[in-house]
Amino acid sequence: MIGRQSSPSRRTRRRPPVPGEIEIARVRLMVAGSLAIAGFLLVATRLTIVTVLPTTEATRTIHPTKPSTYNVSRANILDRNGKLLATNLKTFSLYANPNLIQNPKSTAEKIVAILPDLAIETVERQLEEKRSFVWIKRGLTPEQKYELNKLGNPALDFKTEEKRFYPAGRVAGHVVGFTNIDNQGRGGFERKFDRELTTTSASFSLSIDLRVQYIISQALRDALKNFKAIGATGIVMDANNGQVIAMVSLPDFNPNHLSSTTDKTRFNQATHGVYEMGSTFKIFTTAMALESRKISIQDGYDASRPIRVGRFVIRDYRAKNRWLSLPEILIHSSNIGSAKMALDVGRDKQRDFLKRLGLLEKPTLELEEEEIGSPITPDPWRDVNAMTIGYGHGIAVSPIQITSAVAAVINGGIFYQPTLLLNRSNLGGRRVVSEKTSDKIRRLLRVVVTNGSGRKADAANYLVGGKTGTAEKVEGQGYKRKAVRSSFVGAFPMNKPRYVVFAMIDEPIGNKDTLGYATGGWVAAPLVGRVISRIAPLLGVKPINHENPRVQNQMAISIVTKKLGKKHFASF
Amino acid sequence: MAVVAGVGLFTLKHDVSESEELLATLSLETNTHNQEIHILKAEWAYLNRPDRLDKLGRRFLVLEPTLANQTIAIEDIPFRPRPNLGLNPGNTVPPAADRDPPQKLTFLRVP
Repeated sequence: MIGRQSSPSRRTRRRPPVPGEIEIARVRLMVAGSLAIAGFLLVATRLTIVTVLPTTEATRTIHPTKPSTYNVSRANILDRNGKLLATNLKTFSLYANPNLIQNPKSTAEKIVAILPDLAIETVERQLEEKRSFVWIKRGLTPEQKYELNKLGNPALDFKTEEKRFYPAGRVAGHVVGFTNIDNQGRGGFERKFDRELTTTSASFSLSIDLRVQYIISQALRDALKNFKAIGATGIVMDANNGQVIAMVSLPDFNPNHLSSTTDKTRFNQATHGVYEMGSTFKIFTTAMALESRKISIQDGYDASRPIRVGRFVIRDYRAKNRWLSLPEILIHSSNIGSAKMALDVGRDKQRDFLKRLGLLEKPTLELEEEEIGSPITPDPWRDVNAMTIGYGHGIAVSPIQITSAVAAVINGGIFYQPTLLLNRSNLGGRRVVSEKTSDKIRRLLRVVVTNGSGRKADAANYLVGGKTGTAEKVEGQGYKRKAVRSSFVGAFPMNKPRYVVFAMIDEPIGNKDTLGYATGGWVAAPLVGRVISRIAPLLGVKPINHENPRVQNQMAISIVTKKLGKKHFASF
Repeated sequence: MAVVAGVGLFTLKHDVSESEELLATLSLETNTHNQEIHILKAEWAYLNRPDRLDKLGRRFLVLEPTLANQTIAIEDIPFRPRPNLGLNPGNTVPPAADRDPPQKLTFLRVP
């Protein structure tokens, strides 16, 4: 018993505990234990918060490198069908550190073997310079970079740069514009929208249709060649919202090779140039006369004798020397009749009317101010001015102005400012002539094509209507008799116009096919006819059967002819 | 419990870091591919520029631009008259005169 009793004390080999010490140990154990438990609790709580509870600020959100679309510093420009017109590409620029080059001659030879458009002497001279940095060539292709890298020369290195690239090249050069080597917009849309293009990443869609743009540019190019002309310009516009479908100015330039362009090729005749348009202005004189209700379609003027005003003589190109009714004035393009008509309406009314058609001030268009021409108008606006303006002389406007003005008088009477953007927000137009006047103008322009000077523009089954214009070019103080600007402005289909087409050839020389004539009817009208027959199917315009009674009714017009004092009626 | 939580957390962390790595690789690949797509799109646009297509078309195709008299409105195509079985005498297509006369149709010349 004693041994058993003494054994625990022997095992612990301790002196019998003092009552106070046990208490101390217990407290210590308690403290340590509770600390440990508190620690575990803390971990457990934290775990619960992190894993079980929904997202709190404590949970870490991962921001991985976002699989973004390929970001470039300048947005793409597309045509109305999404075709690429301008984009940024990564290119490589080669530079060298001449101080590290032992043998400039052989290095230069190797470089020129890969970049054959460099002159070997220039490269050699560059590599011999006592500098540590020279540009050899900018804008290399990945392939060229690979080849140069393969040379393994530590003195050569590359800098990645972005380069603006225009896949369509010269086809839309004037509209899309161009950038300088530092990718800043310097012309066309690129210039006007420089800020927007660099701040947004979304693409910009232009109203241009690249196919139509190509077709009209090709037609103008042919005309330039065939008639040995010095320039040509053309526009296709949506008649019902002012969107420019195509805009061409020749000679043109390739925005990818800016160094080979000149100021002359960069000049956009469609918007920047202002020209005396000639007879196409008679459309506006007629519309104004009909709108004023002073003159009806049955009325007319005596065009038997030239008009003398001071030192001016107004005469007709192919004088009929008789009384002409209003449709006949357009069909035969009578200057005398148009001048009298303008004077009848009055010069103030004429000025107001032309102002409403946007012909007296700069049009608003998505181009820089400097690329839009200001019309040249007479001041003061005298009666003689009213008369000459009646047939398109003594006033100079840009092709884009005349195109949108024609669109307004034929589309039912609503004027829209021209635009290059596909999704322009403020599309509101303003009424310039009544539905009724517009309807009459449509019939009149159709009859000019079926029976008048615009015959050659009559693309089969598209019901083309329009007016020719041949303006003598001003030289010094007077007019140059032989040098003309021949134009045609037309629309189709004339019963419900959808597109307006304008073409102008600068200084055409008649050839055998045109029997030596270089007038609008011989030069510009057939061109517009060809363009229409090609673009109409692309633009979704259905062919129209003009023998259909309904269509005939829409285009019918009664023309009064008066010969030897007698009135005859003819219907077209 | 602490051990279980610890092991669980470790596995989770490991999984996450692995996924993160994968994500980074994929993003990088996507970027590279997007870059390539961008260049290819530019090249596609360049190869499809209208003057080149025009030239190639002239060289290799016998097609010509569609003319107005080669197209016809769908309404102008007459229905084939249903065979009249005598059951319903009125069940035939109205005579063509009621519609616009169909336009003359010419076919492509093949040189």
